[in-house]
Amino acid sequence: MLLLASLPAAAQEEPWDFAKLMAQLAQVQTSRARYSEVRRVAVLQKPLHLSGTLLYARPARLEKHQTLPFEEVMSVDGDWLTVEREGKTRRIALHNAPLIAALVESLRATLAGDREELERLYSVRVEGTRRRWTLALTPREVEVAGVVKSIVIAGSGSRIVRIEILEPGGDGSVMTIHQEST
Amino acid sequence: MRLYRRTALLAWLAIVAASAWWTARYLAFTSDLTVFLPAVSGRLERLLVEQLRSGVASRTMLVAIEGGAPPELARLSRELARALAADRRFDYVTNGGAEFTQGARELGLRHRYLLSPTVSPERFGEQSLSRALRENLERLATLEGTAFKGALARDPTGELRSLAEAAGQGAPASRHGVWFSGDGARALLLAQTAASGMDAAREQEAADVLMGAFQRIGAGPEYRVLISGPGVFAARTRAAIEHDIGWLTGLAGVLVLLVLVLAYRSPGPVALSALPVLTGLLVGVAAVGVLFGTVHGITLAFGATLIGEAVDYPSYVFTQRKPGESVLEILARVWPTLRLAVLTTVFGSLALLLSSLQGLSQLGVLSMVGVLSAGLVTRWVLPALAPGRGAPPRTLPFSLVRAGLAMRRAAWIGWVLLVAALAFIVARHDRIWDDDLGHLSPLPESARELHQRLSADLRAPDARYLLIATAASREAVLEKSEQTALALQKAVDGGILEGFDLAARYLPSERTQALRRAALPEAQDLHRRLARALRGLPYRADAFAPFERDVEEARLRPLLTIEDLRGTGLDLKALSLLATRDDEWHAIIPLRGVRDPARLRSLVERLPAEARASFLDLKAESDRLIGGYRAQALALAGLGALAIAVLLCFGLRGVRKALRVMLPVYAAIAMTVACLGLLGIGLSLFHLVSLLLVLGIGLNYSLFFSQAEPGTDSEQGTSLALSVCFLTTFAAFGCLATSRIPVLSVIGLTVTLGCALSLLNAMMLGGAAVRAREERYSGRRFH
Repeated sequence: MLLLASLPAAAQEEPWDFAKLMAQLAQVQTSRARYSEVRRVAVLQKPLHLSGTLLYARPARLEKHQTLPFEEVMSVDGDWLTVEREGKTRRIALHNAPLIAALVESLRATLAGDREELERLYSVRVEGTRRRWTLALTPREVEVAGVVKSIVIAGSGSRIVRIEILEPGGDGSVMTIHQEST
Repeated sequence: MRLYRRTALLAWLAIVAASAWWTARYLAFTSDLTVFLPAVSGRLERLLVEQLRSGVASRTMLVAIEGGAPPELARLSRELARALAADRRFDYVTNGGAEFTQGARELGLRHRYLLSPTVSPERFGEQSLSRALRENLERLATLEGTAFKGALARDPTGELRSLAEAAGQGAPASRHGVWFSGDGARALLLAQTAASGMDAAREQEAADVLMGAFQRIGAGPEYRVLISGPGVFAARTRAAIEHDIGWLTGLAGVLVLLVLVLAYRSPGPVALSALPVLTGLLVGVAAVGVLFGTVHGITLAFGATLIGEAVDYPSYVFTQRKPGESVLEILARVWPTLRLAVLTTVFGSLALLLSSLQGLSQLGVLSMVGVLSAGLVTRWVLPALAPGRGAPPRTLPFSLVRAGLAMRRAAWIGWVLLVAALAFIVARHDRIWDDDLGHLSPLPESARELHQRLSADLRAPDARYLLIATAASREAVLEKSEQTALALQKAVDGGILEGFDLAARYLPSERTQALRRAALPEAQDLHRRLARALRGLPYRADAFAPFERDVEEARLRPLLTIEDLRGTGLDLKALSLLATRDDEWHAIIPLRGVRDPARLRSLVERLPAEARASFLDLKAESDRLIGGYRAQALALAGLGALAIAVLLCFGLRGVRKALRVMLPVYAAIAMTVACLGLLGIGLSLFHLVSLLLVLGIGLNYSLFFSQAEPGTDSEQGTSLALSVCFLTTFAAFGCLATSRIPVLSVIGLTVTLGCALSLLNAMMLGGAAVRAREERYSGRRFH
């Protein structure tokens, strides 16, 4: 846990756990943020740099507008994921795509404070304090675990600051989120 | 006299013992419903019947688990699939879960360059490679990139994706890694039974195993498992028929017994009444066994009703007893008429006997041998067993013969009704038949709805439309079907149908495989092209070494055979879509979601010879087969009627007398047909069989009625005989008519109606010894 090592000896403030974190996140109605992501891929000479904006609206809407390296709009509403790229639109049913569903929910269910959904997909561990917390997610389903080793979400209060995805082969990505408004 | 008695008894005992021994020793009962499907000669028709009998569609059970949240349903689905996969009564089970698809996925990865439809020489050219690498770069930046990245280094040209898309085309929705209905309410499984879908007994066993397994996997009481499919239908049909036949036969037996006890007032004749029919049944079943090897359960059930007429034979004897007469003395009077009654039925059975439908042919043998045996037992064994002079039976407070005489004054009503019935039949002759066997299905509407729902959920192939490509060898038919598939794919893209399945999808023809393998470049070539394609792209130089290694291996590896598919489930799938008969190979191409059958048919029929396939409409074909059989049965029934007419002319020594006996019965049959038509019931094979029975019973009424002379002892005897016979028939078939199983109620209704009309007509239109003088010698000829 690289992230934890960088945290100050925290736990003094107040006891912090998964239930409290979820309750706090559940207060947020909508949020909008810019993100930048660095994706390490073994077959590439250097990591990919991606950026754009994220939008969440309670209860189940999540949009990701990627502007670099190319334009792409991904929006999730309920069970459907819609991807628009180069004028073409594709719709994917999340229940038919377990891996994509797991990746989407790691963000959406966290933003929603949806305890049940997160615990259904991942075994969950929360550390830190209200001001500096981390939420470590380890996939439960074999198919997902074969591709994603773990997801570590770091945040402060009801904000998510950083999402790190670790993959079995050494690949992975780190997404940094710059909040605009809450 | 003593010698005669001993001989008759010994012969009877010997025949009964031999039949019983043979039946117990050798007789196999079958519940395979296809003996009731026509034996056909056309090669596609035979293939069709074979498909109906044991084709993969007929052996597929659609299974659903419902009653809870998806995660628990998914768990139950896994447990149930595992339990069934371990049972030998199931050939193949899948719920779409990883453990059932892993073999297929590994096979796909290993042999993707032979299996993928997108492999071509151009695909490995420098430009294509370069384009593919650029596309992959973009894909890496998307959400799906995470999933697809794993295979990138091995499969930059995306052959696995092509395979997955082809496989996913017909796959049901899935949740938690297993198949689910679109709304998540039901977890779904497919199970292929080892037994033919028409083998009702073994299908029932498989269904029981499935239910038992579900009990053991620890599902809560709120969970339910639902099963459907042709085999399940066959099993349910059989169970329903057996259940109804069981209790209806019991009820009918009690009623018949009651009638006999009331008529004879002593146990002797009542007990003896059962003897001819039981002997007939036993000897008849043995005869069917000797001739056909097996006896169908339905033959037995319907045969038992068909020879029910034989219950009447002793009745015609015992009811006509005059005070102090011995059985032999009664027979001396009655036998000529009774013999004609027996022989008319034997001749009538000819129609069934000559049928090309094995099930009906069995019925014919059973009925002919059974009735003949019953007649002989009545003539020779009854007098030997009951040589004494019994008390005369009850006398009736009314006389049917006198009533008949009275009714003859109203004969014009009969004629009017007959003309009306004939007019109705002529006017409706084109709509009088109903060849859709589905209308006789004993399954409730809910079962059909469930089947439709599960078929839609599982995206099961269309039960009605299907293509068949035919060629001289397996290779040739694989090649041909690949050509057909190219055209079909265009039809799919054009929205004519949703999709299709194909053996060549799992096992491409050697030619296609060889072409694909030849498209793979040599190692040095590929390396050079790849290096150029990689120029200017941010990939590592050695990133695609696994790809180069895989291509080189695929280039040197032998072609894929059915052996390689073993254990993946794909071998079963491929083989189930191939069939061989008479040195010909057929590729069966099931279709899904056919939206425009007419366009598809014309498209398929216009294909060039090397891609042509036959378009089969199973429902139309089966209707046509049944219709063809029905036409044959009708012709044979006509032949039977002619034989009966000739017999009666000889037996009664006169065409006019014969006509007078036949007229009431044929009039009754015409009226019955018209009545059924008025009730909105289309005639099926089962009606035809029932009408044959009406013919047999009705002729007996008419014969005995014509022999009765008013004012003599025969008047009272005939009156009682006809009353007893009609009441027993009415009791037995009236019970059957109340069955909720269409086939049984059809037979019950037709026979009850037909016999009632026969009796009325015999009284109204028949010649109840009006010209007694004239007919004094009638029936003596055979004496």
